[in-house]
Amino acid sequence: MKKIKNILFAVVVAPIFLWLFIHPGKVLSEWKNIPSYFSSNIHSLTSTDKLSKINEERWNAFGSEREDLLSKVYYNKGTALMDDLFSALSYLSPRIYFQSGEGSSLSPPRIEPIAIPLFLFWILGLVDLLRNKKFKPILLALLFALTTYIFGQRNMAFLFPIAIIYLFISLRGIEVIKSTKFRKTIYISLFVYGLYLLGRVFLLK
Amino acid sequence: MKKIFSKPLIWIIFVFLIAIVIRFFKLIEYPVSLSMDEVSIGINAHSILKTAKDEHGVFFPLAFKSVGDFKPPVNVYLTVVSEFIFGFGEFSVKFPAALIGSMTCVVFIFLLRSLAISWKGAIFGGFWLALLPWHIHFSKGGFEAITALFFLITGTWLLIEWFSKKKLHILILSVISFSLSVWAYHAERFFVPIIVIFLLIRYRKDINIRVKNIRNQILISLAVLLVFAIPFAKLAIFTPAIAQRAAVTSILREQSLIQSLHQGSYTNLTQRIFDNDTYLIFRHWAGKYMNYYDLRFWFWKGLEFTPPGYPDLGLLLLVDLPLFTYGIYSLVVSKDKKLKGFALFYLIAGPLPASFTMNEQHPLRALIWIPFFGIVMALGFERFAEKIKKWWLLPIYLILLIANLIYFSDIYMRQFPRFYSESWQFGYREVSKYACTHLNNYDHIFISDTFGSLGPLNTGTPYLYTLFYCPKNLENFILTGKQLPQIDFRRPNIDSAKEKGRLLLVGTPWDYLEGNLYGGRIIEKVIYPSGIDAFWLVEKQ
Repeated sequence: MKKIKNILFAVVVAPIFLWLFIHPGKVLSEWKNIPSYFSSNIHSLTSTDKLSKINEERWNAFGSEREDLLSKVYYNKGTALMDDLFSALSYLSPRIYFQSGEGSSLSPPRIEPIAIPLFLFWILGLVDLLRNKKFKPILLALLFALTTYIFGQRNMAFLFPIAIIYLFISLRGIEVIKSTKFRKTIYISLFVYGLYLLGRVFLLK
Repeated sequence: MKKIFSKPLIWIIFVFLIAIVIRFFKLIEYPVSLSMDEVSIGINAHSILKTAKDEHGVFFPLAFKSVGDFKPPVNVYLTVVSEFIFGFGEFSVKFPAALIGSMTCVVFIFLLRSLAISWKGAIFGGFWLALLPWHIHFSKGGFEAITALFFLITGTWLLIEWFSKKKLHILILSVISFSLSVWAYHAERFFVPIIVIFLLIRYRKDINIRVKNIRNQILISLAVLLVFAIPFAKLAIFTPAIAQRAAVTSILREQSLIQSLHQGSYTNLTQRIFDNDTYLIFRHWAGKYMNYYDLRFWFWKGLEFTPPGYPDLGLLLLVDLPLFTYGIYSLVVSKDKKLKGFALFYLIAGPLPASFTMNEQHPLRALIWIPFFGIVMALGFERFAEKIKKWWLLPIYLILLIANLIYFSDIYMRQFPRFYSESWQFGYREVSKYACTHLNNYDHIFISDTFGSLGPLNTGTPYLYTLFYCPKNLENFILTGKQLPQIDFRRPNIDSAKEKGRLLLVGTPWDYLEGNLYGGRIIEKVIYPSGIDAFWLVEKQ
């Protein structure tokens, strides 16, 4: 019974899961396309367009020589790789999960994938994870962000594992609160808020 | 290690000197030009010094009317002092923020100490701030937010000190610092009240109001607070000086939000409930707020020195990342609840003021957030020094730090001017100086107020630059309230070229399409650091 209650709560406060569940076709078609996404992404990562901006900075860097050593040290393919790495890290940005979604039809329209108020508990949950030296969820989220980046498609078909992890962290954040009464109030408020979100998805035309 | 930090004063002086050297290095040259805010501050300060009135003739104003809004007064009055000492000029305008920015590094050490961080951690925090591009850039650019941050940190430090020492002068100085912070920049108007409330709640056990001495200290400080608060309230209630700025930058003015709002006209009850404007505004704001929690913004692309797609700098140096990560861990496992509470408060509240404004990820408005990152870095270093003790890592860190700073110097001094010199109204200094020097050679001078390398897309304030760089014009303006009659600020065109006498037409290449110089000849060109022509000075007999 408790499990069902938990799942129901998760579905309501994180409409992304319900949304993906009722659109399995879209998710499956995204997954089916992984090989083609992957190959085109690998191609674009090393594209001349991407490197041209770095080359432009290199040619204008430091000394008057166009290709002096210092310029080469700082502006090269490694710089592009770092840029890619941080692009991948930006997939961990809470905004995607707690506010905007990723902008595709795989995000529920007009609402956030996970209820906004859970963001504060996400911070508390992160603190709690670190305090207890439980790094697994954080490392897993990092791994999924990198994987999604390599696939080259920033959408919820690939990012939803991070959404699950973030929801887990947020719920852990609520559990940090010691007062049972207060915790209960938070759960009820979040449930009501979640119902409001579902109302936005299904009742608004 | 303890021995090294046994004489903190020497280290504090060292940190201050580093901060000074970096902030004053080529102060006039970088950023590439005085911004229009700096120019305006310089002119107003000069006017106050000469006449006790601002450029609009207001006697010792508490808010300075500017282009589209009102400027806070603290930087202007600091520039009055600076101009009194050094005379009127670029250095005097830039001096206050550069000095106060350097002093912030020192005060930050004391704040960290008051939070029970060891001397080595605190000194490292000051050292980190002294080398932080985020803070360096805004200190060199004469931004008011730097002054406000200094007073905010000072006020916070002194208030925490007062909780333990209970000395009247400490509380009064704290109140004065917080008040000046509010008077210095817009973001602090929102942030200072919430941090003070937070500190009072957090340290409530240290304040026993029943003790007469403490009660008296609080009452006296409240009286001091009123000295600052009453004029502020007066400005807020009876003038547009405070409200206008909030209105101009508010997220409620953002088109993307406005278009989604119903403004009260809902078509049915379902829409009224489920598409209510309150939710839409809340969600929009939440997006702005969460935007600040982005590792890319923190460590890779945050300062906007280069356009999208080009390597840039984050709010923090890349080399800070390992120590920052370790610092977060150190903070979380720390047993000091007050410190943890303070850091958590800063983490959550830091981006709040910026999140209520229009732009995405605004590094200037987020400057308030610096103490959070500083605390984490200081704690990381402190724990590293105590627990890990792998001192061979230190030289590696220093080498990487120097490498990162070399990268910063290139991005800041070569790439940033190349990409964004027009954002700093580059060229008006050269144009104004030329016009001023050759004033007697012409009957009429036209200076274009529109410019841009990709098209006439930017509107500038050349009238401010001609005041600043032309002493004759400035003195005339202070005496009469008018610019010299032969200077006109509009784009040169066929009509202006018809004016009689010797003309100087200062325009962008967009004003002389297909090389049509209206019968004149180019006598000088001002060129952007990117190599593109900024202004053509065309002489017509």
